[in-house]
Amino acid sequence: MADQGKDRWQEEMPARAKRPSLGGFLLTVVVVAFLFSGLAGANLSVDRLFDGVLNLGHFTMQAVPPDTSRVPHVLGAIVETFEIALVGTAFGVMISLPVALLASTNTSPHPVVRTVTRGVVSMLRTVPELIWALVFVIAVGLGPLAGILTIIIDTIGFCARFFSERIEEIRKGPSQALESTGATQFGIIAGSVVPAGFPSFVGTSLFAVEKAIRSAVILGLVGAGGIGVELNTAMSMRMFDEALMIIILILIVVITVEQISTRIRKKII
Amino acid sequence: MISLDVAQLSKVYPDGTTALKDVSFQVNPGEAVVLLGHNGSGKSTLFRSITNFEQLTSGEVFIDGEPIQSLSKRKMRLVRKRIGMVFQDFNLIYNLSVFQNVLFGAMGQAKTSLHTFNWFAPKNLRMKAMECLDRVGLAHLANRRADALSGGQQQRVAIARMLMQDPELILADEPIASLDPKAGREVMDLLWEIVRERALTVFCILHQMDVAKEYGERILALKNGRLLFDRPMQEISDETLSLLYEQKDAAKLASYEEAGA
Ligand SMILES: Nc1ncnc2c1ncn2[C@@H]1O[C@H](COP(=O)(O)OP(=O)(O)O)[C@@H](O)[C@H]1O
Ligand SMILES: [Mg+2]
Repeated sequence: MADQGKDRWQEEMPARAKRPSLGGFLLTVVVVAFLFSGLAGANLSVDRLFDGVLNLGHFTMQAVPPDTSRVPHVLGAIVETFEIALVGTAFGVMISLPVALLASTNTSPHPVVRTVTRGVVSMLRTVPELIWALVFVIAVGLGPLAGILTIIIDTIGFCARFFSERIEEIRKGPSQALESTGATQFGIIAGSVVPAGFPSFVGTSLFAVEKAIRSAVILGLVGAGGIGVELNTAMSMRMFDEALMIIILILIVVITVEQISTRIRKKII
Repeated sequence: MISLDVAQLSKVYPDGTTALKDVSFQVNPGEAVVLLGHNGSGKSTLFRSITNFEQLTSGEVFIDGEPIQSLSKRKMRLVRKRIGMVFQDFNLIYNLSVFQNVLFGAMGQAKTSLHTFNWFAPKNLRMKAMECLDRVGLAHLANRRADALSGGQQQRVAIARMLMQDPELILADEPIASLDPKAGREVMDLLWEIVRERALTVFCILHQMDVAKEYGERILALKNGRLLFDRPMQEISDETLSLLYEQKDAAKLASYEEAGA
């Protein structure tokens, strides 16, 4: 048995590795080429790395202790960021629900409406939010309004998609039960689809708020209002101690919001 | 009083499954008709066709002499309002209260759908919902979430919701198939009591033979989408019923069909 097994499965036994296909081979070559070109572009050298570490040390020395003198002013900007996120998400969620209903197979009035709505939603999601922010800054000027509009767009791209996925999972029995009482399409959606999806909608919306707060911080960097504007100024004026204070405050706000949102989410599920 | 007339109804699903073949019968006002048939014989398809949830392949369904397929959307809703449905899996909205579920039964008659939401519902609808709940013995659970009830209780809530629409005809699709025997019997008794006291017409799919014999006045039987027989309860022998469920040879079935027709 033993020596028979030696060269037995020669043909049947799978090879250790499969011979790569031509496409796979080319793709690998291209990716590796980009990898090297990217590393080269970053101008990596021991000197630069060393300088980088030194600079970081420099930054830290100057940043510690954080400058608390402008906290009241900075707090105003943080509140503004929070408000941008909250207002933007609130409107975004309100718009997302009808959009999701139009985009779902089981609630859409027509397949064409559904396809178009889906296309628009994924377009909103695909364009990065900083680009939306730049566009809105041009459209409505610097300040929180541009931030709010950006968050609204961002929220629709996120929530409409997940709302719609939930809506399509909803069992159709309860809807059919309402339909059989003589309910209108509106009645069926308001009475059965929305209530059944509600816990999931709330959960998704809370994620959207968390996401929006992080976005709203960044949006300030391009002038769309809030704390990002302050951080940008502090950094470019090399007031690192103030910058550190701002970063700490941002952390506190983000973590607090995430904690609250996690608690609420646990409660509804 | 509502009358139902099904004429040469056939249904072929888009995937090619023939669910109903040339089925004809009438249900007269005040009758209690039981529909029997093994799984997949087309019973649920027949019910969905009666309320126009299913596009018919051929044939027609008449409610009070009017063909339902030619009705406008609004008129179809009015017809549906007159036909109460009870389902095997209850089909409540499970994360809402029992009371809210029952209120929704009024969707076909309230001024707008919003008037059936607890927040906005007028007093008379709220009173009526409590009365319907009381009729099924669950007034004390009005505030509970629907998913916090037992199966038997959920089905009774579904019946209360159905009562809310003041139906004239009840279509019940295996109303006790997901319940244990005791709860099932209670639900059947309740349903039949309500039918009697309101002089309603009831058309009920069952698959327990003994229950069918006890409650039905007339039995319709479907086999492979065809109407096997349609006759008063007292004319049906046990042998006839067993014929329906056993896989008898085709010749015997055919001869039986001829005799029955
Ligand atoms: N939506 C559907 N699409 C395709 N075939 C279906 C559909 N619904 C039911 N059928 C088929 O039609 C036949 C009758 O089904 P149904 O009316 O549910 O039977 P019953 O209620 O008597 O068990 C079965 O063969 C079933 O598989
Ligand atoms: Mg069925």
